[in-house]
Amino acid sequence: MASARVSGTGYRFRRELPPRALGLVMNIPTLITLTLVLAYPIYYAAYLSLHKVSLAQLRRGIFPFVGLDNYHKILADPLFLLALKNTFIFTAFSVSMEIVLAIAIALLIDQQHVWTGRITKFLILLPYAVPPIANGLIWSFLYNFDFGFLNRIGFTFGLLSEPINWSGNPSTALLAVAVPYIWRTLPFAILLMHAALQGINPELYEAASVDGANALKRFWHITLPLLMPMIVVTLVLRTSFAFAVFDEVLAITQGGPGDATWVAAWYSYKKGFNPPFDIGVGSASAFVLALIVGVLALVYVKLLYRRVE
Amino acid sequence: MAGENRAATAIGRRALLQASTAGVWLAALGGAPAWAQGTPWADQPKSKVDKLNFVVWTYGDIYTKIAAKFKADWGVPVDATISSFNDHPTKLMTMYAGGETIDVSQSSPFSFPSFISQDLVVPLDDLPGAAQYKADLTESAKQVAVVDGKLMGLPYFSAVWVWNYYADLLDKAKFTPFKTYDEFMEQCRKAKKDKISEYPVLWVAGVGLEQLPGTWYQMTWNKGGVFFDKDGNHQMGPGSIARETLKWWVQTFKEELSDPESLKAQFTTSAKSFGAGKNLYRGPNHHYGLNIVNDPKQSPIAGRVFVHGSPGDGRTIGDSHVYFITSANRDKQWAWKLLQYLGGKTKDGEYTQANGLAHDAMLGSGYTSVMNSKVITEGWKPWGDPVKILEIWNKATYVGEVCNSIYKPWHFPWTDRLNIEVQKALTGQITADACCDTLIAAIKEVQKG
Amino acid sequence: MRPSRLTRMLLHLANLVVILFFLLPLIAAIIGALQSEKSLQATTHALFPQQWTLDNFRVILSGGQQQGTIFDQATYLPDNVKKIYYALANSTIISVSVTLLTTVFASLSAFTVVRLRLRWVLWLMNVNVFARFVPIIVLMIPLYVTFRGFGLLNSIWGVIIALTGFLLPYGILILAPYFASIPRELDEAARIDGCSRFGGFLRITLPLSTPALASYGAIVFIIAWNDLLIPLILNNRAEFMTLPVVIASLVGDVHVFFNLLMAICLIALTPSVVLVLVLRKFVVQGLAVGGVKG
Repeated sequence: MASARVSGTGYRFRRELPPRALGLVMNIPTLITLTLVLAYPIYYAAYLSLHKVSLAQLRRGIFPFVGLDNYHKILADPLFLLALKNTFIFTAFSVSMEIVLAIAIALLIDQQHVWTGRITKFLILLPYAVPPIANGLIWSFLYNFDFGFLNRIGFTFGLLSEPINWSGNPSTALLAVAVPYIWRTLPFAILLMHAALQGINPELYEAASVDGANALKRFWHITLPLLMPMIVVTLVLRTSFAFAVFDEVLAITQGGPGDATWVAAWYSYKKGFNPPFDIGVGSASAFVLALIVGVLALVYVKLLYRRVE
Repeated sequence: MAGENRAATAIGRRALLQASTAGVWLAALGGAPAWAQGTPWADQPKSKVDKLNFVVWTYGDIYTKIAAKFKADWGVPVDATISSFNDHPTKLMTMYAGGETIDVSQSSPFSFPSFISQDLVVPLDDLPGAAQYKADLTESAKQVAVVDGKLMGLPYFSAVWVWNYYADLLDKAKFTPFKTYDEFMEQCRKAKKDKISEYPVLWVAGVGLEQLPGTWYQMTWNKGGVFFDKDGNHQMGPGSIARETLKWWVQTFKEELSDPESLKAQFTTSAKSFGAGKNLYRGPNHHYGLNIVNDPKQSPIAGRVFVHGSPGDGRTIGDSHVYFITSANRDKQWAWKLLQYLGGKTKDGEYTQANGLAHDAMLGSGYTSVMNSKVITEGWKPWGDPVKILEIWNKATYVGEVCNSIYKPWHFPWTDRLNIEVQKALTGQITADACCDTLIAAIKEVQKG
Repeated sequence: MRPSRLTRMLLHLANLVVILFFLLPLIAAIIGALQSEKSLQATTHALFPQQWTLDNFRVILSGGQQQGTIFDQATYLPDNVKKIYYALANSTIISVSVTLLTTVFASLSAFTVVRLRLRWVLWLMNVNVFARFVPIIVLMIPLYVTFRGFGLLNSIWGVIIALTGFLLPYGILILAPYFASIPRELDEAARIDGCSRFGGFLRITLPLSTPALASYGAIVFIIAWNDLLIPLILNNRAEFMTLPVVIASLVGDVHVFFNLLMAICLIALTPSVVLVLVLRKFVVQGLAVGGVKG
């Protein structure tokens, strides 16, 4: 990459900017926006996390420095630790489910001779377009104990005699949030898997068939190993996004019942934007989340470079 | 003034809130000349504004109506920012922190001290007519609106905690409404066993005084307990009534007598859930849930739901919500004008909003003169028996007596925590003892801030 | 080699399960939206209501003016819902502006990455890979505080700027590899014909990249349309709310029942769903590229 620096083609134009200047000019909008919306806020989040910032301070415009107090506060807060734990559980469950389902569905729509697969293929993108908050509310309607659709289906088809409390049971509430999340984010994973499947040379399968390998063996010895790089990339990408899950929690459980579905993003939101408006603590908790995701991003970059090599 | 006359005569008929009677007499007798002197609600402020605004939580279309009336009366347009009840504190504080102008806003009793401690609320005593309003406040409203002797807000509405029962199911089970908590349990168990009701009781979920925490306060008070004594020491230790009440409450969940929806459906939604006609009882909560569950347009079981007082001496709790002028107002005199439209009198000298809330939404008023008027006794009739509710009303004490942390700014974050921990206890994640211990420990945490 | 009859049946069955899973929430939402509260309460077991009605949509789309025959909750229609057309307009304006801005900004940057290959631009590219991972919640608090300082709270512009910044890295990541795949010789030929570098960008790179631009544009539009946190925190007046914010404001609103909620959700998801199904090919391509190439 480093070998190709400024192109030295040598053509001269009277009114053309030199590459350096042109590069700068063409990047000005990006630089400004990124500085304003990403770089500065990230720096500022770190700054706020070291200061006492609440409603009164915001109004007065003076933020007293408190050192690592806010970090001490969150690390001593059982609710924050629980939120982190819930985030890990949620992420581990939803991402692993997603990858398994994505591989299965990608293989399914790859069977071109099955006409129903074309309908599946057409519909795959649909969840991707649904606003997460609407997705959450629709599922909370599905889950509702008295009026919900899942119980109605159960009764109509004689599967249930008693209604089920789908999202209100503390031990399964995280699962109840994970299912809609998986529903919405599955398309992305399927597409990645499907793209990777397209890249596998069909001759490999034919050769394996000739050698007498059955479908399961072919999957295990050819498909899965060749999908592996994509699985890892998907894993890292989806993990980093699942860590910040928010909309579905807001719509379905609002952290409840009790604290069963408090996740990291919900914690930051509640601390920072709900009375008593502890913006310093909210920033500190968000920053911890950013650090965790930052490590994942590093892994991702490393993986990509390895693939390139 | 019509209101004043009505108040004076009505008082003779029936003393509503015992504690406030003396004050009302003084107001009605001694205050009369003062009222007659001027009509501050009808005077135009000298200053000029091109618009005003308020930030409130949603309730029907009352705010659209009152804003239109204000514009018609004074020619000043009113901007309304309306959010849901749960989002209201966040919205208000976000706007305040964002440096926006807010003339008038609104508060629950449990968030008001927090707002006051953030310098958000302006005292009203020096404003024209404030003394008259203060004199007409009920005891419940006074407990919220008057802080350290200063009038900080005008009343939005008042309510008392009542039980509801669904008569058809009770008839089917051949029960009469329970007299003791033990009888309540027996009835529920029997109804469950006989398949009359899978979940005989529905409670109200949600954070906030009038929801899950309020139910615990009410039952504790009814059983003779409090959460904090006069000196602010907690009363939740081992063997305390609050703790025993929680244990009893947990039991109703353990035996699956409580509808699981109890932990999800908040006030209005729970009234709608009750409307599905599957439960015998709806736990103690604000009385005006009846205006949903007994409304034939909204409820399949309309007319068959009745209020029921609490066991023992029937003591219960009540509370009041307020409107206030914020320190971010654009013009204090005009903000006062607008505040009166929401929580006081309109230009014609009528308690327009309070009267409307009573006969449109079954809400009680924080003004003695309104509570004693026909607006209540006639206005509530479509949904419930006003006499019965007013009987319970007379046995109500302001919730601050039960849980006097309500007067403290830290009550707000504490009640948030309480809601979480009580939910955990009711769903069996932790024991009632662990819940109370955590809440005791949490008091210190929230006091630190 | 054709699979056996049994295998085919099983595959059809599997497809059916997947299709039902994908459609289940939408079917539920539609059935919920097409009945009254009362009919939802009247029976808690039946799948379908006894009486169908469009009143939920009627009342929302008329801003609460038309209450319909069986819609009796109209007095409880929240203000935010009455301003649904503001929300529709805001969502549209914001999504379209963000799409245009990010596409322009990202193409400019991506071009410098692949054609000028300045060291700092390559470094910027790496920053973008990281930036894509930043969770939006981390930015919310500082964005709120800084935008407050700039007077950008409660404005359409604040949301547009924030979303543009947030989605820009993703765009550069999608467009750069595509630009790189355009043969360099085309650029060189244009330069021999007297075309400047920027001219080459306008006349060669951009026109040849329309599929990538469409892919990215569609994806950005959808993300911007669906985003909740940024407008939720920056704007709190009904006039500036987007559809997701209106929906979120109903979560805590105990006066709104499922029927109305489902109708609003359907109104909010229809535009993005239609867009995605129409531009299916582009979206698929964009997502696949954005996920893989860095």
